[in-house]
Amino acid sequence: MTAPSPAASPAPPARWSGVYPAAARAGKLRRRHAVNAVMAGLVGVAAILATLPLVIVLFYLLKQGVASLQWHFFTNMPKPVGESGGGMANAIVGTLMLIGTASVIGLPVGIGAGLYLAEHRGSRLANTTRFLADVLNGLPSIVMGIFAWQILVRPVGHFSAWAGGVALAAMMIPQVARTTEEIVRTVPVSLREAALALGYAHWRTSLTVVLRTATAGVVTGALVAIARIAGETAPLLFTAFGNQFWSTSLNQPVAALPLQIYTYALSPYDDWHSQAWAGALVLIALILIISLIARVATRGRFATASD
Amino acid sequence: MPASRSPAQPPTPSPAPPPAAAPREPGAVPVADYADSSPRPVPAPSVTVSTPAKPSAEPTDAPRLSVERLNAYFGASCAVHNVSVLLPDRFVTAIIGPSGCGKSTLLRCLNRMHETLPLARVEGQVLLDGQDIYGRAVNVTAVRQHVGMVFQRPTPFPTMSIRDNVAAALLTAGDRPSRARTDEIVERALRRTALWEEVKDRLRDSAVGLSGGQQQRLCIARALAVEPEVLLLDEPTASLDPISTQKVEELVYELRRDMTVVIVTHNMQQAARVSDRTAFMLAGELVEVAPTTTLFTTPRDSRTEAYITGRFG
Repeated sequence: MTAPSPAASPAPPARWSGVYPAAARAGKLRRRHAVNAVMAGLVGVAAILATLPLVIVLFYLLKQGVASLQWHFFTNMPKPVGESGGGMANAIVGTLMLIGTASVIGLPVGIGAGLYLAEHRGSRLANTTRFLADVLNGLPSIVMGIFAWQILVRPVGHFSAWAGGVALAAMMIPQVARTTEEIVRTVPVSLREAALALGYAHWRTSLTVVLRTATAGVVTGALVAIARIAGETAPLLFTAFGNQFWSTSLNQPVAALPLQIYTYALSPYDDWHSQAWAGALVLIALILIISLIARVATRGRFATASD
Repeated sequence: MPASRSPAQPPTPSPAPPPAAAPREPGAVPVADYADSSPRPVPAPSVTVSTPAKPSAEPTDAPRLSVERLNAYFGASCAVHNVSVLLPDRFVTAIIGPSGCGKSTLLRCLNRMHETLPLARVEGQVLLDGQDIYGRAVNVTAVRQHVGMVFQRPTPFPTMSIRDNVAAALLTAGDRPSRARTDEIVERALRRTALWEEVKDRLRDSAVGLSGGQQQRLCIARALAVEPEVLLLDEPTASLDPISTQKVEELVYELRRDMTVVIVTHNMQQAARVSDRTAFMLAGELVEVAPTTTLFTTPRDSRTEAYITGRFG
C-alpha cells in the first residue's frame, strides 16, 4: 500500500483510487446521506399519518361532545324530545353489563383456546381451530347479530342482555385465542423445560410458568378484544335491542352506548345529536379507563419474557 | 412420606432419613423427605485437590442409576444406541464426546425429559434404585423430583422473586411446607450453592437481575431444594465466565457427598477436574466408561484415545 498523500485526510487504500475518484466518492456519500434522510422522513410522515385519524376523531369528539357532558348526562335516563336534561345512564350501565358478560364467557374460553393452540401446535384439532378462528375473525358483525337472534332470541321469545353478551363473546373468542397463541409462543421452550424438569405437571407448567410469563401480552390481547366489542352495534341490534328505561336484569333488553348513539344520531333533533357526541366520548373514555385499570392490576413486579 | 412424590412402587420404606455423612449400606434407600425438621448436617469443607478424591473408583454394589440397553429415537433416527452404563452413588460421572454424539439425549432420558420433545421415543430401562422409571405405572413428575436437572442456559422464572424461584419445586408436592419451613429450605439450598451471602438481602428481588453465573447457581439451588437423589447437569458452565465456571465446578465437587451427579460436558479438562468416572460417547454409542484418571491416561479404546488427544472433536 502506498503512503497516504498529505492532502487527503482519511485516505482510502490506494487500490480504490482507480475505481472511484475522490470527488465521486464524496458525491456518492452525500447521495447516500440524502437518500437516508428522505426515507427516514417518509417513514416519520407515515407514522404521523397513522395517528392522525385518531387524533382528529378525539379532537372532534371533544369539541362536539363536551358541551353535553354535564353531570345529568351520567345520572339521568333518556328524556322525551323537547325536555332538556336527558342522559345516558342506562346505556352506560348497559354497556358495562354487556362487556362484563361477554368477558366472563369469552376471556376464559379464548385464553384457554389460545393456550391449547400454542401448546399443541401440530395437532389436527389445533390446525382446524386456528383456521376457523381466522375465518371467524373476519365475520361481519351483522351476520353474527342475526345468527344470535336466530338461536338466542327467537326460541326465548324476547330480547335479552345475556343474548347480547353471548353474541359479543362469540366475536371475542377467536380474536383472544389468536393473540394469546402468538404471545404464548414467545415464551421460550427452555422455561417450559426448566419447569418440567422440576417435576411440574404439564398443566401446572402451562398455567403457572407459561401464562404468568406471558401475562402482559395476554392482557393486551384481551383489552384489544374488549375495546372492539365495546363499540359493536350490529350484534346488539338483534339481541340486546336497547331499552329506554333503567334495567339491570340480564333477561331483559338493555340499553347500550353504541345503540343509543345510533338512535340519537339518526334523529332530527339537535339536542340528541350533541348527546350522541357526548355518548361517543363517554364510550371511548370507558374503554380507556378499563384499559388503565387492567394494566395497573396485572402489572407484574418483574420482567416478563418480552423484556 | 408425601405419597405424590414417590414412584408407584415405593422402595423399602425407611422410617427415618439417615444422617448425610453416614455411609450407605447397599440396598437401603432413604427417600429424601423435605418435611423432616432436623437440619441436615453440613459436612466440613474438604481440601480442594486437583485430582478427584477417589482415583481408583469402582461402582459400589448398588448403583444409584442403572441404564440398561437404552435406545432413544427422534422419529426414525436413533440418537442413543443400545447404551448400558452404571452410575454409582456418591460419584460424579462425566459424559464426554463430540457434538451430536447423543450425550445430552442420554442425559435427558435419565429423568424422562426426552419424551417431552415431539416424535421422541425411548426403549430400554433406566433403573433408579432398582426400579425402572419407564415402567408402566410410574408417575413421571415424581421421577423428575427424584432426578433433578440443570440446563445449559440459566432459566430462572422471570416472574418470580429469587426466593420463589428456589422454592418453585416445593409447591408441587401434595403437602406444601409452611412459610418458615420454605424459608429454611431456601436458605439451605442457597448456602449449598454459595449464593446465600450474595443474595440474602434481596430475596424478594427479581431473579433476572442476577448475573449469568449467579443465575445458573440459582437454577442449581432450585434443583437442590427438593433434595433429589440424582442431579443431572447438561453442560452447566457452557455459557458462563471462568470465575463462575470455577464456582460451579467446586459446587459439583461438593455435591458428590450427598447424591449421584451426572454431568455432560464438551470440555475434557472440566471432566478431568470434576468427575470420578468418565464415559465417552461417540455417534450414539457408549464407547468406554472408566475411572477418570484411567480414561484420560490409559484409555482402552482407540477412538477414546483419538478424541482425548484432540485428533477429532
